[in-house]
Amino acid sequence: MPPSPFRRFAAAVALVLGSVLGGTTTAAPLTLAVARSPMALPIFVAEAESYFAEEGLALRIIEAPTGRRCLQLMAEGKADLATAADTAVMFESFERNDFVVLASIFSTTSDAKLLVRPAAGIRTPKDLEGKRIGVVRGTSAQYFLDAYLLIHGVDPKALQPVPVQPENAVRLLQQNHLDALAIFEPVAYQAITAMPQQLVVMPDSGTYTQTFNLVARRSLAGAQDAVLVRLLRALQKAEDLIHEQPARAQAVLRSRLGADQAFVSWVWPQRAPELSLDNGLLKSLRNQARWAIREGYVAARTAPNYLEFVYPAPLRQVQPEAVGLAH
Amino acid sequence: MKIRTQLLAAALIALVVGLAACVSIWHAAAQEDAAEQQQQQAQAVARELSGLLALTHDFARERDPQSEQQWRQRQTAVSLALTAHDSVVLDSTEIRALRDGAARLTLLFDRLADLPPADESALVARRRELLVDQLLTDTQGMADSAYRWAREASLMRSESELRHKRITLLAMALLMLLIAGQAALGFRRVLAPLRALSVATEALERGDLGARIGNTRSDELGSLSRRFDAMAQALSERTTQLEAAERRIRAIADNVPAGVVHVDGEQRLQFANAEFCRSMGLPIERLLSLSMRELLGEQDYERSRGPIEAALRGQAVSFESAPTRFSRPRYFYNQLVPDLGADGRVAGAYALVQDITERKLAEMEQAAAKRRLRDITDSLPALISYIGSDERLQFANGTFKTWMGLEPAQCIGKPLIEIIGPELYAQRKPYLDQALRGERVSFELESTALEVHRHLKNEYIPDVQKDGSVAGIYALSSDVTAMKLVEQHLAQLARIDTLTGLPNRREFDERLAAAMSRARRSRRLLALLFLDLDRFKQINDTFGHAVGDEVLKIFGHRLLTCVRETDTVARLAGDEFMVVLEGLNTPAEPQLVAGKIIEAMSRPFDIEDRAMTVSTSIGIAVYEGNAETPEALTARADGALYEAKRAGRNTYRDAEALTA
Repeated sequence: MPPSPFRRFAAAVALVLGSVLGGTTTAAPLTLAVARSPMALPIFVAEAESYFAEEGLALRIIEAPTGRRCLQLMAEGKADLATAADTAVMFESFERNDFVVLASIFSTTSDAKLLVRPAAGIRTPKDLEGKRIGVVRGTSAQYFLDAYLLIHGVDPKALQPVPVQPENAVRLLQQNHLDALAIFEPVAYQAITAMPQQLVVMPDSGTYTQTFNLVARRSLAGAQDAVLVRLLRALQKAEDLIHEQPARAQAVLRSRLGADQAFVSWVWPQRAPELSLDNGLLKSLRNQARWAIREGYVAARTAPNYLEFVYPAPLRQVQPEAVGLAH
Repeated sequence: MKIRTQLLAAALIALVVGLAACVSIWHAAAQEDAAEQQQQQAQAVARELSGLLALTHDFARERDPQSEQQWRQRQTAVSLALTAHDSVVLDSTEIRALRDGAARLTLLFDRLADLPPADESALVARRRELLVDQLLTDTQGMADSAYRWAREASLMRSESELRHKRITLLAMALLMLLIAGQAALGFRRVLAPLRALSVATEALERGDLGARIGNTRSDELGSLSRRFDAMAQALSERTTQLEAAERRIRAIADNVPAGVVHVDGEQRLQFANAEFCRSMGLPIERLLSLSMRELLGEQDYERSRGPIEAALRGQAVSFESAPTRFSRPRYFYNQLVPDLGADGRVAGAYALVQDITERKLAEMEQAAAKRRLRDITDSLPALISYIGSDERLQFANGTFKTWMGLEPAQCIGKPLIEIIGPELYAQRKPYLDQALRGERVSFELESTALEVHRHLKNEYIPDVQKDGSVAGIYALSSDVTAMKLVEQHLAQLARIDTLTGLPNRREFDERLAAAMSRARRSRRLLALLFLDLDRFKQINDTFGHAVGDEVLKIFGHRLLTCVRETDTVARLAGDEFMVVLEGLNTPAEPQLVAGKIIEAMSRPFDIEDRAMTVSTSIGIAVYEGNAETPEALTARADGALYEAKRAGRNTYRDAEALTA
């Protein structure tokens, strides 16, 4: 259902008021870099339903294929806010500390998938040894692949990793440059639909619980808390709508990702998105950091203090019960 | 709308609202309970997961069977806590995710436990680290979810509590509002009309018959009000009629020449007409507040109390009273009639009080007069009676009983013939008829009653009415027996007949005896003449005793003129006369004298301007000096008189000649 005329009008008025009055509203619109992932659904919905405008936010939204790239846009100063999976945040934390995590907006165990070509002789995880596996470095897909392998007793170093990007991953598979691909949605779906006969999704009982997070420039923390609160409040509304009117949210998802209903049914999460900021995130970041150090993906020998990478104040103000961190 | 409909609707709404409120409150309470349960469950799960986190650290450090067993036990506890209830806070998918997470933990733990402890190759160490990290991260993530769940449950519980309170308050407010609304509506629709009705009824009670409500509503009270108005109108009309009727009754009552009153069951005066007020000398206002005791006074009330109470018991009673409150004696005739209500019970009594003082006094005067008269008549030595024209006795005094042996009262109204018997009646009948023809009759007669012989002097006086008719006769009978006896005795004692002045029988007897003695001594003849008036009874009967007596007087006087001075003329009785002739020379000489007497009597008797013819018969006996007795001589003369009568009267006969 499209936004009602009244809602559009109210949003416009709020926008104008925000612009004219200034005050707590940022004078210049903020830019949010959004990963092109189904997990960004709350942001898509909030945008489609004009929740940001209703909250008096002047928000510009730009897209990037991955959260890692979103963080890079932020690092380049092209965005004030970004969405990224925990793995991307973890890798980014080894390079800079000018950002903070405001909240996890989604968590799932089924976003990242391992697609294999049975034709390449892959039946079990062990069969992956020596095979060419495409993986987007610095993303959740990379951690997912290593964890999957190690859990199943396969040394990641025994594989031939092939760095790919979401944009070319399917093509590389189709061109037989890869025997397997560790990838997240919606690329996984694209690959399966492109090569339905050739690809199999390796069974996985939830190798890791991935979180999808909202990240802000550190300079906003404290200085722009009111804006961040409005942002979170808009997302909270969006999450309520996804929970209460899934069909409407699915329509948003279809139009935003240019996908069909089959895809939506494929990726539609078992668990509704939920804002949170818990110790689990800190632990997850630290564990992944230890993994990155252990596996030699980063040069540093110690993990950063991730307490310094979270800023729970806005979420606590919006939804106190969603914050599991001690004050 | 009818009030009944409104009340029903109000009751229905109240029921619906009450039920809805109950359901809402119950629902809110149920939600609150459920939220509380969720909170407890979430807290329990979170606690177990925190414990599991610590045990994961223990196992990673110790890697011994005890810590493994502890971990597995705790993991089971987590799974159990998660299966305890279905959550209303989290989606079932969330619960399922937690359960899946718990299952995955076991999977990861199994892999960790399966790692060969002895083999400390680089890969095994990397795997161990990753698995431990993964376990810790997942456990932490689950614990975070559980804690968040607990916080959300807590929040929901607070919200439920708040909602519960609000619903309860709202329900109460709604019900109070409903009650207030109904009360307001009730006041407007019920109490206000009722107050109007109450005001109108009070006005009516005060006597304001013009009181009306004028409610035009179509509900029950409206119709009741209209009925009240109609009733008040009818009452007003009835009251007007009643007042008119009462005025008429009062006018009638006031014009009745007797007191008319009404008392209630408490003997309080409720009504009194003008006559009663006048006779009591009190205004109606004073009278109507009085009880009979107060009105009559203690003494008079006690006398009248019996009849009054009898009337109040339902009896019609009448009595005379003589109240002592008046300065002069007054008498009243009181008629009491019970006032029976519609239910047949005595509600009071009506009294008609007639002033009978004048009549009473007249009656008393009459009775006294009558008593005096009777006392007088009873003490008279005469029988006084009144006999009606129908010959029935109407009055007789006390003497009647003495003479007749009959109570006068028992004989009043009876025919005279029955009372005195046919014999005495026959004696009186001629005089009775005469008197009833209007003549006053005086007569004497002798009659015997109760074996007592009386000589009565009677006087019958006709009771002549104005129209000339005779209503009856007053009869006065005096007993003159004693007087007659005295008279007779005196006559016997006397020697001269009082009527004629001639010697009577006593004198004659002595003189005859003396004359016969002398004749014997002188030897001279003596003649006795026995005279009798012819048909004297006829004279008496025809002309009365007075005329008869006059005839006897003239007869005696003429006799004296026919004899010598020495001769004796005497009257024996009635019309019997004797003449004694002495010193006769010849026996024929008496015949000369007899002829002379007859001659003398042949002249008419002038009595009361009437010339009456009277004759006499004479018997002659001559005494010649022998032993003949006076009685024998008289008998011979009587025999000669008899002969003269036989010879046709107005003649004489000589006894000598007869014997010869």
